[in-house]
Formats: sequence, structure tokens, C-alpha cells
Amino acid sequence: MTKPLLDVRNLHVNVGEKLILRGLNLTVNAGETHVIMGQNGSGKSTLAAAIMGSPMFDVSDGTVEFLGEDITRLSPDKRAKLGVFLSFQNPEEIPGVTVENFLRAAVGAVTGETPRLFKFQKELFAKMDELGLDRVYASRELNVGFSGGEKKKTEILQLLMLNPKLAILDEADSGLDVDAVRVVSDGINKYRNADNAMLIITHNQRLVDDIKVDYVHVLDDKHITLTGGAELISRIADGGFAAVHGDITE
Amino acid sequence: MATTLRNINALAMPTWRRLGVNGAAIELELPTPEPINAPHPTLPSGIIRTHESVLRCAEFKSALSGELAAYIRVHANAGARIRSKRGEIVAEPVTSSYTLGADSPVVVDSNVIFAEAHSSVTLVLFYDSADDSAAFHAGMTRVIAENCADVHVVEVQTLNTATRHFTDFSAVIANGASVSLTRIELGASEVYAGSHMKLEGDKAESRAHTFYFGDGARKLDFNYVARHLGQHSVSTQDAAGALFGRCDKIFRGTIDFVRGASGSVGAESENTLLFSKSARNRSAPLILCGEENVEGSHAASVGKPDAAKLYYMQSRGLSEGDAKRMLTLAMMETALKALPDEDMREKVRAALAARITDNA
Repeated sequence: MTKPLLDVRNLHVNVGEKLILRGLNLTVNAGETHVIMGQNGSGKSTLAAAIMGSPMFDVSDGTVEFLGEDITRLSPDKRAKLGVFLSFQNPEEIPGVTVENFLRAAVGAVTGETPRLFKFQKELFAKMDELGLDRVYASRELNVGFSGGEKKKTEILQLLMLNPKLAILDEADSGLDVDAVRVVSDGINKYRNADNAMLIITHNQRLVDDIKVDYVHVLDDKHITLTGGAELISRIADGGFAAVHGDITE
Repeated sequence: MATTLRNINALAMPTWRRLGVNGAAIELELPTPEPINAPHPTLPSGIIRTHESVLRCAEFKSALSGELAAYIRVHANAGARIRSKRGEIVAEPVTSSYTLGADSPVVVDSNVIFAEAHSSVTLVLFYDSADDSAAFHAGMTRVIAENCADVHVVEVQTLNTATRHFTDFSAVIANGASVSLTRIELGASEVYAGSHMKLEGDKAESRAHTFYFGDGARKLDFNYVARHLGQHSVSTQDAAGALFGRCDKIFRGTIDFVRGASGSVGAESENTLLFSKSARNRSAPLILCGEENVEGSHAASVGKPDAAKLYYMQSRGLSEGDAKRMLTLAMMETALKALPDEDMREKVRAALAARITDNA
């Protein structure tokens, strides 16, 4: 039997003294798309950050395994090299570093070989065209002065260029208009295949309208309280989280 | 015989001595330089050679040291002395490169720029080491910018860490003229750098932008002054850099609004990344107001690299060391834009990357 891509067991995460996640379990296999839903402050972004290895959070108990390897204590760059990717809700601005130079260095770091310039540029521009990102942005400083939509598209550009095994998308649709959401969901669909997997964190239905979802998890009271199929999304969209409270068995 | 130079980079207005920022006193053997084989730079059309005598019509002040300035004047064994002709806008830079080492252990260069009215000129000065031997560099650039002239000076030094480096810049800036100085200081055991911008005319402008890299037990000592005399004159002083090891750095920035400099604006800012707990960083901003209707500002950011930025970069596969290297190189990019040639920029990037790698 193949090992799951991601296996989170009994995860406890703190920020200082405050417990954000308590005993969370989650398994993601290759080829699957999972959606995490939950109210504001329920810990969705904390889960994403804990899987990526953010130093701002403290994993006080439990484990995170990736392809059978315990990565709970690994630094973020080592996780990225194994194939974990996080699309940030609020991507950092990196003054002085162009999108192109940053991505070329990142691809080199992840693959262990700096790509040849012209081949890399060709691929980068092709992906920028697909996402409707003006090629001028390749020579702009990363996220500096970008609109919310441009930042989100640049995150998806990084996803497509780095081609990780697991993509965690944290509010990839927040602040986007309807057309931009479609561009982002198209990008996500281009990434998706039978060998990789996605963990999509979202508040609303728009982003996943055009994406085939396998599992939906509701995060509440510091852990996953309900897991179901894609139909949960529309039920929550129609009636709020109260509409699915009756399904919670624990 | 060793000489003690007092008041190197002296603060324009001394403060409490216990702060240790008033100036430096150093023991120094001032060598008598031998002639060096430094060809006179190629001059583009619109630029002609000139003599020190053109400077007689202006009064210069050294922010580094009057004593050292006098030494450089007397003992210079190199230097570019150039004049841009009235109305000539010359984009092509004049470049002087010096390679210090066993064959050229002492370089003392005195540079002169006389920019006639409505002309534009760029001088690029490169100082590098051929080997690991101890050497000595002292240089001085004096600039006269006549009405509406535009002068750019870029100094880049990638000297080895056995070499002492002294550099002084002073400019007298007339009505509507603009002078910019960009310094990239990557090497040398000791760096003493001064700049004195005298904004004599109305609407005169000066910009001093510095990038520094410090590591080991090296010492970096800067003293920049913008003296506003003309009305509606504008000055900026920006410094950015990264400190590793036990490096000791001080940056003194003075904006001096003289009575009558009404409507003038001066701004200074500093951004220092500290990569080591043992590195010492001192900033001494000073704004002197002899005139009421002026605007002076100071901003400083000193600290460790932003943890959120490092995490973001690491999440893309870059190691912590790679991320720090990239952030430091990024800080230099603003200064590098002043270099007119991409090959030069690449050379400087490579020099810094190598020095950061040595400290990773």
C-alpha cells in the first residue's frame, strides 16, 4: 500500500501560551483535493503554517508526516525541497529581488540545479501568459506594489513553476474579483494531476466552483469536527456552518 | 613614522564624549606613494581634461579630515581631472579603476570634476585588490557643479581585508544643480569615508547613497554632511548595509540648515541588517537648524532580518543562508542602479556574494 502524501496525527499547535489546534488528524493521498472550511479564527491558517513549518508557531504535540517521513521538526526549506508548497494568504514583499530572480533561485533550490536562463524564461513567460500576468512583472520586485490580485496570481505562478507534490492554498481567492478567481482556479486545475494533491483553505464557494473536490473538512473547536464530500461546500454556503452542525458526531 | 590623525570624520557639532560618536583618532603611517601605472581614463565626447586650479573659485570642506585632504592634495599619484562643457549632456561615464596589491601598495588619487552650467557628467571609481597583500588607499573627489549641472559619482571598493581605505568627497553645488554620490563599500580592514555637500545655490540638490558590508573585525566609519545655504535646496542621505561578525560600524549624518536656506528640505535614512550579535552598529543623525522654514527628517531601521520574510523565502526552498544572502544582495540593488554598466553590476554582485558566502 502506498504511503499517504500527508499524514497529520494528533497535532497540537500553540502560539505562546495559547493553544490553537488540539489533536488534529488529517490524511491526504496523491490525486486528492481536500478543502478545509471553518469560521474566522478557527485555526485554518495555523494548520497551513504548521504543515509548512512556520517558526511563528510551536508544535507542542503530534506529528506531521510527508510521504512517510516525519517532517515535524524540519525547517521550511527542507519541507519545500520534499515537495510541500504553501500559497500565502498575505505574501511577503521582498524589495530588491525580482520575481524572475526569486523564482529561478527557488526552482534551483528545490530541484538542486539552477535552470538555464533562457529555458527558464521561456517557461516563466508561458505560465505568466496563462495566468494573464503581464510579463513586465517578471522584472518587478517580488510583491512590491502589487495589488491583492497580482499577489495571488504570483503565488499561483510560483506553484506552477515549482510544481510541488502537495500544494496548500491559504485563502487563494481572498480579495479577488470574479474574473481573477476564475484565473486562479484555472491555474490550480493546470497544476492538479494524479501524482500531486491539494489542501485548499477557503471561506467561500467561489474558488472551488470549478475544481473537483474529494473531501471537505470543517475545522472548529481547534480540530476537524466533520469530514464529508463536496456537497458540504454548498450546504455551508447556503446555510452557514450551523447548517452542518447536526452532522457532527463527536 | 606613524602619525596620529585626530578628528577623523568629526561630527559637525560634537555631542557627549561618552557616546563615542564625535570622531575617530587613528594611528597612521602616511606613506609617500610611488608613481603608479594608471592610465588616464578615456574621455567621452563633451568631456575634457582640466587642472586642480579650476577649484580655486570654490571653498571646499573635508568631512573626512582636513589633514588627510592636504596629504592627498600633495601626494596624489593618480586621479581623474575632468570638465564637462557647457550644455553637454554626457551619458557615457568616465571610469577610473585601481588595482592595489604588491605591485601598487599605495594609491592616492585626487579627482576633480568641474561641471559647467547645464552639463551632465558621470565618474565611476573602482578600487580592487590584486592579491592579499596589505595596501593603502586614500582618495578624494572634489566637485563644482555650476548652475543646472548634473553630476554623478559612483565609488565602488572591493579591497582585500588587509587594506586601509580612506575616501573623501566634497561638492559645491550652484543654483538648480544636482550632485549625487553613490558608494558601495564591500571590503578593506578599515573604511573611513566622508562626504560634504555644500548646497550653495537656490534649488540645489544633493543625494548621497551608500551601501556597506561589514564582517570580521573590520571597522566602517562614515561621516556625511549636507550643508544647505541656498533656498529651496534639497538633500538626501541614504545608507543601507549588512553587518556580520564583530564588525564595528558608525554612520554620522548631518543636515545643516544655514540661516537663509528657507524652504529647504533634508532627509536622512539608514537601514542596517545585523546578522551577528557581536556586530556593533552606531548611528549619529544630526539636524542643525539655523533657519526656521526648513524640513529635516531622519529615519533608521536597525535589526535582524525580518523573520516573516525569511520564512516566506524558506518556504520556497531557499535555505536560511541563501535567504539572508539574497536579502543582503537586494539591499545593494538600489546602490547598484547607479552603476551604468551591467557587467560592472554583475562583478560587484559576485564580489558581495563571495563575501557573504565566507560568512554563511
